[in-house]
Amino acid sequence: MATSDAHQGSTAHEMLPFEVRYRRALSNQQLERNLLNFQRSWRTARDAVWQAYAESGMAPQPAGAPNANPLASLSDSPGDRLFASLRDQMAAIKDEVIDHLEEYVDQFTRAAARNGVRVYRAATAEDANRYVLELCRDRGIQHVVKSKSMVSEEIELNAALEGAGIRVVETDLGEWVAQLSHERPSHMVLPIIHKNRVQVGDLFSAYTGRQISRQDIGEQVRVARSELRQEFLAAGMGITGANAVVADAGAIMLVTNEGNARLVTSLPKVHVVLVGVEKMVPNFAAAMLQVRLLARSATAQPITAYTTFINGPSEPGREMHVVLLDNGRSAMRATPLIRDALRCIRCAACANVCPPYAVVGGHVFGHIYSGAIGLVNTPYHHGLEADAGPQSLCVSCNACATVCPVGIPLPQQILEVRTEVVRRLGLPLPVRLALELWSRPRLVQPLLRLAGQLLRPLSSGGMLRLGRLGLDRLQVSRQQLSWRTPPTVGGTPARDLLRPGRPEAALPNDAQGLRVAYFIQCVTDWFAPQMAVAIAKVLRALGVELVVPQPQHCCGLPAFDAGDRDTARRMAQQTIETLERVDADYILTGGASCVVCMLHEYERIFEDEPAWRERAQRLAHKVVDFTTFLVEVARLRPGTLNAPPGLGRVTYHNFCQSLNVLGLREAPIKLIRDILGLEYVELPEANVCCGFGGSTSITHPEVASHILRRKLENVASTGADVLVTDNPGCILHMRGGLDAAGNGHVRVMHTAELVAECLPRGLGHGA
Amino acid sequence: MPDARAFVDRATAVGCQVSLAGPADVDAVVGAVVAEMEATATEACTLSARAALMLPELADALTEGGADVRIAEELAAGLSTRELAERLAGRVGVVAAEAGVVETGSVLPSDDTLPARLTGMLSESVVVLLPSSRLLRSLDDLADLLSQLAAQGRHFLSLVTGPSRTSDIERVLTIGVQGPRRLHVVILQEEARVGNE
Repeated sequence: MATSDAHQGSTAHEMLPFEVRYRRALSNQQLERNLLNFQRSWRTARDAVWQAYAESGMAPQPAGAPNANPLASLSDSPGDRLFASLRDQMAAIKDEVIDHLEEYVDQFTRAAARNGVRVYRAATAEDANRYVLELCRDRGIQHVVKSKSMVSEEIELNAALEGAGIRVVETDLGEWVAQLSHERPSHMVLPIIHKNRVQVGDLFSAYTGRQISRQDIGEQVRVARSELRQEFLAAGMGITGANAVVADAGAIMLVTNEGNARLVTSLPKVHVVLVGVEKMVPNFAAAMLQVRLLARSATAQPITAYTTFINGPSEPGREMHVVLLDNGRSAMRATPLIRDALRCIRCAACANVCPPYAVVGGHVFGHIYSGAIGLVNTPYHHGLEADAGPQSLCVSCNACATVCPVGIPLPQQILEVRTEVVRRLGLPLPVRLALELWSRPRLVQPLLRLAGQLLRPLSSGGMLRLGRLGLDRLQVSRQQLSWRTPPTVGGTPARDLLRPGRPEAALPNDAQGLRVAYFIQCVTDWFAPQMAVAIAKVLRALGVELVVPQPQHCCGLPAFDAGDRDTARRMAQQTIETLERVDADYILTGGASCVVCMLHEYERIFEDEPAWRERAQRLAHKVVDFTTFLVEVARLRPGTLNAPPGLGRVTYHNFCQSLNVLGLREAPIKLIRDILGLEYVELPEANVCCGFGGSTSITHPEVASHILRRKLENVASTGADVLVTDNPGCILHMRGGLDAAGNGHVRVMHTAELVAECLPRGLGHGA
Repeated sequence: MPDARAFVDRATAVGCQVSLAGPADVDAVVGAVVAEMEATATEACTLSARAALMLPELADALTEGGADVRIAEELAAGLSTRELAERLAGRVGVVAAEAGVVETGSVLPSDDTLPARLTGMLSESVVVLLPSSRLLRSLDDLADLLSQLAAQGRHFLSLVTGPSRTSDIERVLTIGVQGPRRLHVVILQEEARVGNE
């Protein structure tokens, strides 16, 4: 991955160090409350606006199956299908433009020139700033009004102009408030989502010198209207961004709700457009497709109030300039895995579903661009160091990929950035040591056995009770464990408890007689062996011949997820070697995240090693997660299993990767409700991550604990007695959270443990 | 033909007032403009030249009713942009639409002079005259029209969907930030098409 070193330190932004921003955000409860409320209402409104569009009779028929981002699984609802269809169309258009960017830029430049527009291509932020500054000097302009432009934030234009004594005023209400508070926008669409009306009232009172209401938002908006009207009329230059650049017409497109962009472009005599070169679209038809996707994804509107196309100065004596900015975009274009990020239309949907973003906000989850896309493009615009902290907050839940309206493979790209950060700057020491140890099964497994023996006095109910020795008072315990009781190490790993072989009696099902290799999964093996026992029990009850390949350990996901590609590669090789030695119909695991790793990540781990990649692919055909095996291979029928009385009400957490990557949406619920016949209650925000998130929960336990709290509040709201999901790490994380919160009476079970409790007597026992 | 009723539903949903005027029913249009003058406590209105041309009897009818009626382009003569902006702010604006889009309840004003454009931007309340023959079904149809208009040398094409709005402070929807607080679309129905949609 090439990063734009040329731009590092090139602009003088006063940004506090990541750790300081992180601590501040954590202590800001209002921020988290605002963001959580926003994410919840955005999700509902966004889904509804697509559904309404699909049902309106006005929408084009979805064409074929979604394909732009096969890793992001969507539901089959008409709204989601329509979204996927338009998304794929837009992605294809953007890809074609990015492939032929020079031709489109030429076409645009010629068309714009015919209309009297001056087009300037700026290679760097400095070039763009210098062009605008010289224009101001040349025309004697001392006063500039701006409508919202993320590119101007990217190049820190305001600082450059103000440094030369020019008055610069933001006219988007949120941007203006941010400017008055000497802050950056914390969200690309809602710049002051982190603030409340009291703060705005105080700012406006200080600015105007008269008392402005701290409660009446209508009054605050009127203040902005009258104050900014004067700025529009006095300014000599209006600066805008552009949501799209229409190549064939030489036009730019501006999308706003407030109407400020129309005034910025109509009142001052000089209009300057600052736009990233990737915003090019071929024609108005493509721009309209973008409008449909952008407004719904950004604000859940079918269209914003003003969609304005400008293709030249409309009056004699007026000027229009378009600055087409590169600033690292060519480097993105030249990097195959990052190139798709140039499709971005800056809707911020990726931030609106991001669990860690909801905890810390855009001043922390990003640099100048925030949300998932900010983690991807920051290295190219502002240098890798600027991204080192923010990227470490991603929990790899893949939610962003499911709502991106141009199908950018954001989770994969973030991991590329993370890998590059690790390669250049190294891993945090505790993570490095843990991964190093974990990657050496012959060293770590005896240690785990020993630890299991030693910790026995401190263990009960599968949990480690450090309080018994007063160890809970240590700083590290308070940070990492006060909010989630850790699982204890099972003195006897699952591998010692399983008895391979073929059972005699079996439930009626379609998997009878199959030979299944069981990949125990490392967390299950050492920290939750009872899960493995349950899986083996169910497989025996299905009449499946169980094989436990040895020596097995870990698929490599923890290392891959932490950005340590070399260790991940080594562990993946160990796993492939073990699994390909067994002759089996299926390779089954209870760790859904391992399935994702083997099906998708191995492709990337071995992207430069065709022989290994091929071996991984051969294996991938056989890999299956427990739930899919039960529902689609065994095809268990309702009535074959009986829930024991008193099991209670069951709710289901969609492990994020099971849902977002594997597409497990209906199958688990069908299993619980229809096949097991249990009382099922839907979990609000069931598809939002639980906060486990691999290394993030160790390096940023505060973020992990806040995301977990959101999950457990949702669980509590259902009144469920049992919480079911299918990823062992998440199960232990949520068990620990419930235990620490004193809600240990809610049982957190793996799907297999639930099924095992419903087996008829005498079946599957003796696992 | 696109469905005028579907347009009315969508335009209403985005916060527009919508009125229907039958063929040659100038009174209905006068009624809409008067309603807007009352709503914004003014007795003055500004007509863009194109709006005046679209309904030639409108200016006189409004004047007869006691309104202070000016044509935007004439009002602008000799005024600086600042002076024009200040004059426009206290008057109701009346502009003509090039098109309406049923899919979104949007209108595309047809005015291409700066005074007419500013009338649509700076007036507290804006009345848009939309002939029913100019209804387009979708944004795709609008894209074709935009290409034609751009090729004809139109430089500022601004699709308007409801009044100006913001949710920047605590995500509370507030109407009327930089643009008009009220948007009133009057659909001018044409003879041949009445009653058959």
